[in-house]
Amino acid sequence: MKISKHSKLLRSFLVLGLGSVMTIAPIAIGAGSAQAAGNGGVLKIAFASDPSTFDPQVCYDATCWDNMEMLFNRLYDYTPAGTDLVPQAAAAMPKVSADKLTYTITLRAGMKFADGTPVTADDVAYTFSRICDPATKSPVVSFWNAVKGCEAFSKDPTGTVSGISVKSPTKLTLTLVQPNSAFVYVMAMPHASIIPSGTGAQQAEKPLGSGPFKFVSFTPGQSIILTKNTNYWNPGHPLLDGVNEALGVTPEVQLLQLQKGDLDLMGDKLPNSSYLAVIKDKKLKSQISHRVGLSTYFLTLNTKMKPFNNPLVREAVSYAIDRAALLRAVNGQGDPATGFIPPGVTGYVTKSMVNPLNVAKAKSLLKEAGYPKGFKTDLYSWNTQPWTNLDVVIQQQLAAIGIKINVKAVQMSTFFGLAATPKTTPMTLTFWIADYPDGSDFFQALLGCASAIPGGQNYPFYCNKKFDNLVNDGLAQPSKVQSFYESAAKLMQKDNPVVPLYFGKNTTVYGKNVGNFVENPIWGYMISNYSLKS
Amino acid sequence: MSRWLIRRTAQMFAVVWGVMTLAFILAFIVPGDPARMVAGPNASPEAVANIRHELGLDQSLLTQYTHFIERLMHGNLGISFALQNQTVGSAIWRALPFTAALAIGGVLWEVVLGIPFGIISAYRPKSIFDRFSTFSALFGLSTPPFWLGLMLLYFLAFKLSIFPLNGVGHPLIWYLILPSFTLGVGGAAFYSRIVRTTVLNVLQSPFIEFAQLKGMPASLILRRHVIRHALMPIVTMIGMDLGYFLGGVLITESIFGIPGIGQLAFKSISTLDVPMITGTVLVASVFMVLMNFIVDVLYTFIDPRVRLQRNN
Repeated sequence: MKISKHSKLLRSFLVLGLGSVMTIAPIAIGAGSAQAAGNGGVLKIAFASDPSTFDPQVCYDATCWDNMEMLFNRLYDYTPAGTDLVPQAAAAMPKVSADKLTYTITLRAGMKFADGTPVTADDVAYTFSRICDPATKSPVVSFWNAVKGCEAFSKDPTGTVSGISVKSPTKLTLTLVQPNSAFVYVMAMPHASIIPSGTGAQQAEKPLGSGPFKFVSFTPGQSIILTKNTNYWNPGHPLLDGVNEALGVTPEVQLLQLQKGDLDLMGDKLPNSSYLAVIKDKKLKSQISHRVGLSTYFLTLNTKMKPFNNPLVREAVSYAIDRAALLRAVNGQGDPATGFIPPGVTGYVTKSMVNPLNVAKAKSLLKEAGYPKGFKTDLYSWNTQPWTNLDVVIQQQLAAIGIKINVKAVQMSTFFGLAATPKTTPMTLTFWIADYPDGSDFFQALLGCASAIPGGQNYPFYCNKKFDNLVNDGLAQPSKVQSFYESAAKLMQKDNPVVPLYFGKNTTVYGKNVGNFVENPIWGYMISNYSLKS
Repeated sequence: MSRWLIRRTAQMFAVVWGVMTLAFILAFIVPGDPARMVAGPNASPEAVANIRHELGLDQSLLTQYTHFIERLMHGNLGISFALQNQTVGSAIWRALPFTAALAIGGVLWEVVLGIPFGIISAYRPKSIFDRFSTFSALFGLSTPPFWLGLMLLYFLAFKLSIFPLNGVGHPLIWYLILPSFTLGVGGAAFYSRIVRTTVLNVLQSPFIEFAQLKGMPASLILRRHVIRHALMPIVTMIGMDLGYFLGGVLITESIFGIPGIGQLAFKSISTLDVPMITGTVLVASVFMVLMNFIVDVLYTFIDPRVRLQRNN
């Protein structure tokens, strides 16, 4: 804490005045212990929220996600700035059998967990089986149903997952139910972070992995302290001595702290209200990074509800959207969507796969559908930014073709509940960030028949077997995946269950002392690669 | 008196039980699925159903309520849905000292600023000080805490570096000065107006005139007669404010990054963490009724008329 000289008198006065009362506060409630700095320095980052857990097989929030990157290794991970996979805990990329069903994985020699115990194939098998175990309550078990026996194990967790087989202390095989070219990405997800066998119960509070940093302490609402893992397999890494994470800091204050030099990285997104001021600030120019977000913002049109069960109405809406105007409402933080799959994800195509703005055509389609004067309907979204900004613009744009929108901006948890209930939300405004850079992550989760059920993510409740088959064919034939996904996208454009609006773009401002700054499209920060300049 | 105490205690329990029941029911009737929030956006419907079963959310509302009350009777507030393996009790216990320190700091600002300003204004009506006090009170009452907090942070912490920007640390008092001031400034303004009016009324009372005619020194009249009379409404307000602040002050805690009950409550609402919602509501309601009770008891000591009435 920096305190100027002229403040000392005031400080003494105020401390004396309030001291007698404040002494009732327990002494033990101070901030987390400070981290001793070595040559590499200690990086400071702040988050608004605590992680919900440190358990990698359960973790699914931003704070937790960043910690997974630092505390654990996975068999494969992304190159620092890209979406290409490289071996991490594995010695090489997996050997895939001719029938594309069996993956043989050999572990990197000499890998150790932070406590010095070696990483073995048993640990990897335990980690993956744990995802399938219903007791873990893993949110990603659906991805792992691709492995033979996982689905059965998730219903009856006796015995083992038949598709996971340990061949030696350094070798194991995974057998899939059907060919799945995206499965290698599933093994790079944070949930596939390797933990020592039998330690599942302790991971939520005392995480132990083989990542570049080691867990020291977590004080809820205050701090997380990490230190360098001296047993890390990669010589010279990490470059930092440790990481101090402050918790409960709003993004607005994170930005002030960063500008003041008290913080190296903001754990949360740049506040919308500060975006323009930051990007125009000459002092911060060299500290700003833009990257593609691997995300798509879109409207869903419920294919099982009137009037959107009429394809002509959905098509009319698709022609009424002015994407440039929408982007102005979010300070230009994105690019107009040219399809459902964002750039950087397999299945993205450069040519436009969306219907352009054409109000006359939209009106004519509505007339043809039997709604010459338009109709009234509800649009659901979250009640935070950027949604509330976008709601108003969409309301105006659809009013131009006679559709009167009643905006229902609700809390996130309420939104999830309503949108996943059949025949409840005629339109929703939502988004999706890729879990991994393959179009199936968008197509299957958001538009597949399997997810068009109560509680699923398919908010338009769209189900087209032909569409599903095209996606599955793409997964089974990696060499033709782009072509299959493009055909699926064309079919989707014809049916219009969703109207893609824009592709997200992330802007980050980082501390001037941070060296080797790079962001990964999937992970975001790659703190294990960073250094501190002073 | 003892009958009054028994009746009052029974009322306290009834109010807390009513508030808890209402919070429990409200948490369930708002649209949204706690199991989906726990599972995350990518979880399959089967995984969500499994989590719903694990959390007991697939049972009837009555069964869940019965289990909830049973747990409560054993002092068990349950396990958080959103924070894995964390009990609600431990989370509240961790947050409580920060909220308590902030609440006491806020009340202190109210008293330290509000009472002297009110008394001096009443003794010097229409003076420059009185006008300044009136203007300050108007400013304090009309300033929203979120704006004041951000302004204080920007100028005193960011620009002048006098105070820390956020969070808590050592010494804790240094981190609580701005938040407690933000919390207390509105109340201080209100107190000063109430005290001014009360003191003005008291100063015009016949017994004050009598004391003056007896030749009692002004300082003694102030201590013995004026402050004692002016204290009644202030004691009520301090009790209410302390009860309210101890229940968690969301805006102030959020702006200044204080890991207190208010932040806990807000995060639990946004994640539909039902056990944490009911736990924080319980804490807030207990403090509120407890402070009301304490104020009621204090009346008995401050005002002999109240004591007499209750004894009868």
